[in-house]
Amino acid sequence: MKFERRWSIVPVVALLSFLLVAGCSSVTDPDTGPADGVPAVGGEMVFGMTSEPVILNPILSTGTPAGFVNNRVFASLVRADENLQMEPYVAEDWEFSEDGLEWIFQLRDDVYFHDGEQLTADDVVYTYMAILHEDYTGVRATTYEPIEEVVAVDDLTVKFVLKRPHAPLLSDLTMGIMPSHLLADEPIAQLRELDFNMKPIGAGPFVFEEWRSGEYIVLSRNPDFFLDGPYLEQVRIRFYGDEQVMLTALEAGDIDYIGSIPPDDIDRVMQEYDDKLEFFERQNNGYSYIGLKQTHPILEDHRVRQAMAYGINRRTVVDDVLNGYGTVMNANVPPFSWAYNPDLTDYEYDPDQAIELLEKAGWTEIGDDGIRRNADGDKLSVECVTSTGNVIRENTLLIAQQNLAEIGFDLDVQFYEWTVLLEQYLDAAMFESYMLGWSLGLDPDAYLFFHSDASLDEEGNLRGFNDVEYSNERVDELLELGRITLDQDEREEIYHEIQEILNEELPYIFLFSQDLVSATNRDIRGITMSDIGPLYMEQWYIETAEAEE
Amino acid sequence: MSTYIIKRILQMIPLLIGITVVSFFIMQLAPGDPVDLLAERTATAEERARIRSIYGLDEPLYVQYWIWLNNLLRGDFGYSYVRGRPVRDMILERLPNTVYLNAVVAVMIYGLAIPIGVASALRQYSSFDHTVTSFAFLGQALPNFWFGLLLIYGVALRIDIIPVAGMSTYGISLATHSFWAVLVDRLRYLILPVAVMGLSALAGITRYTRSSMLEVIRKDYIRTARSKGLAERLIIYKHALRNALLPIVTILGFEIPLMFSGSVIIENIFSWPGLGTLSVNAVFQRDYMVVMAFNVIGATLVVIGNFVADLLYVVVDPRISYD
Repeated sequence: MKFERRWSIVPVVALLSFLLVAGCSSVTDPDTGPADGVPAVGGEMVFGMTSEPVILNPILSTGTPAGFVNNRVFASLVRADENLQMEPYVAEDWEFSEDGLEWIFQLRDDVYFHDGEQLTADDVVYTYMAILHEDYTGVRATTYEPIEEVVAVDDLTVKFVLKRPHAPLLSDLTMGIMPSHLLADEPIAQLRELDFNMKPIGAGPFVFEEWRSGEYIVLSRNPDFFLDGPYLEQVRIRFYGDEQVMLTALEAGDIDYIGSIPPDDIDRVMQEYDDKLEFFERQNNGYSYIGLKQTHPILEDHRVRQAMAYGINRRTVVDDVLNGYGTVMNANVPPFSWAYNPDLTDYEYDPDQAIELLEKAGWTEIGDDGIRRNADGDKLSVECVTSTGNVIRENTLLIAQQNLAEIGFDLDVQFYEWTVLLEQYLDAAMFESYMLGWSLGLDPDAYLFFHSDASLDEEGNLRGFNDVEYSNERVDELLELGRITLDQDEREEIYHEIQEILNEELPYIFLFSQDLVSATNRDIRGITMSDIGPLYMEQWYIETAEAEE
Repeated sequence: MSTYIIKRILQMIPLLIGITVVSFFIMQLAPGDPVDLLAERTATAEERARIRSIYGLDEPLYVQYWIWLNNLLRGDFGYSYVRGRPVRDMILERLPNTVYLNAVVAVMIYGLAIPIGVASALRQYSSFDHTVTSFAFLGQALPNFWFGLLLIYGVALRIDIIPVAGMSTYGISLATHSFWAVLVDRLRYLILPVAVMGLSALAGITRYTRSSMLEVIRKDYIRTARSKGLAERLIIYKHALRNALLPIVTILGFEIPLMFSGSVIIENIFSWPGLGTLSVNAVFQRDYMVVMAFNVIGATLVVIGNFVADLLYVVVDPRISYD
């Protein structure tokens, strides 16, 4: 059997950061794959989702549901594999100029939009230049800011001219390519109001058919898709208002796939439906953390931050709050990434070590209330803010609060409504500590999170997401280097060192990455699952469809 | 009567204008800004200003209100900031689903509750009355979401013909199937949501009818009717019921806005694509135009509902006249 890997990924900017869904095509590994038969065309696969896309336009869409649909309908220049490496898709080849300022992509000559028009360099130019247009009203302008311009060299060659070398850009060229012949005449300011966004036309493996708001979206097979497949005749995405009800629908056989079984039901469903469903456990490309204000009088001492890391039993959090379906994080890169550094201090729960560190930091007296004090009589008390309505966060903070209380550290937890939290605390960067989560992009670049330039400017406005005001010259240097270095092996070293420093200095208490367990009907074959989601979907097929051939 | 109607309608005008003022300005008080939805968190002040001007959000508030009101009077609720679609379309595509479900529930409730209420009043303290009373309390006390989930697990998962959630089976439509096949399919999906909504609403109306009926049958004119030898049926249905229905009519007036409002909980649980989920999602997404549209429509329907109830009084109670 020949192994051929092809990939698609469209980055989707969630409210806080990038959230990714991946789609892919491949003849898969023998153990999960179609070794038992030749894939045949036919049948319908039904996906269940608890939220609905808002708008189906790759450059304006946000959120996972829209990303899922856009990835099927649109094709992109490159796509990522399960280790987040970029592979050819619409672009069959690319090269970087010596100075890294010109990237030239050679497009396939057999890519057609669903309306029959050929996909050319002009479409790529349109897609990226629309985002760079001053009237663009979406959330992706920063991502593509390093691009000076995009030009069509000829029909099938497109050139990206950069303002400065910027390695992370490659994994952002996963944006679905839009049909310029349908859109070029529309003013960019009115892009959001177009009917196109309700019935998109792309060049991906599946053709958009129908969207019934609140009910379903139907896609059909694109027979002219430029790669092998697709095999599924129809893909329907059904929307449910409640995840428990969606799970029941899966149990009843109404749907063939759900991306994430609610943690409390995982063990039961895996036991009861093992004969009907296939389960995949995967990590989430993201993590939860407690951000610590680096300039706070108590938290500026890195021994106090390390004491917190030793003093919070993150293993218990994963076991109890996530029912074991989680991975403890020690830095900012998830284990499945090519940039992950496995050799970090793991801060195993150790209250004695935590106490020792606190005493070294001068927190030696214990008051009547059980809270430590230093020589000046200050209390070891830190406020931690977070948003209301997230059970996992509530329970995690409850455990952290108890753990820390045992070592004489008072974590004063406060919950706020999301907009209030953003406006008064996070966007203003006014907090002592806070708990939230990041959804990550495909590239390990963390400039916006940890570079001192992404912190506050002179007027106190946040320039990136470095709201904890972390500042380390070496990390700044490495983050810059990581952006301009195009060689992946060199980048790997750079990101390893960044993780080491972050793991030592702890701008955040890195908590965990939640694992998701998805379930798929066993009749669906040829599936590839990865930590960034279901992949190679044009290679998926229904086993019973073989009989019909 | 017609003078009264005209007077009432004229009185409604300032009220409706007040509703638009409140609906518009209350959104300005909410934390958050439509620009936050559109721009990146790290967007600069200039980028934000640019987006503001594209959407006309840089105009003074009274100008924004005036533009919005003018469009409103033409039936144009504006465009959703989030979806970029006309708000009117978003509401109209969901409205039939909500009215459909609520109409079925209403017919069922009034069709059942009034006879049950009357019967249980006529047999006060009988075992029938006690059973009805118990069910009424049970119906009021069961939380909808809990009862709904219970039915989904207990009934839908076990009985094949009752679907878990949704409104219709994909692919079954009049284009491909017979009328009867479509009807049966749609009815299957109605069973659970109607059962849940029906049980809780039924309870209230049954109790109202019962107590109102109990009050009426003790009135002097009922005794008079009996003493002049009228048939019991005639007494109950002609003399007593019409009077007993008076308070029910008031409730019917309130029922009109409810008809269009949709229940968030029911819609979420049964994945019913109605107005409830649309309005609640709009609130969470800070989709201002949609929220304002719902506020205006909701308040207007309450005003109209009250007006209709007042007119219905005349129909059921000949003593009331508005001349």
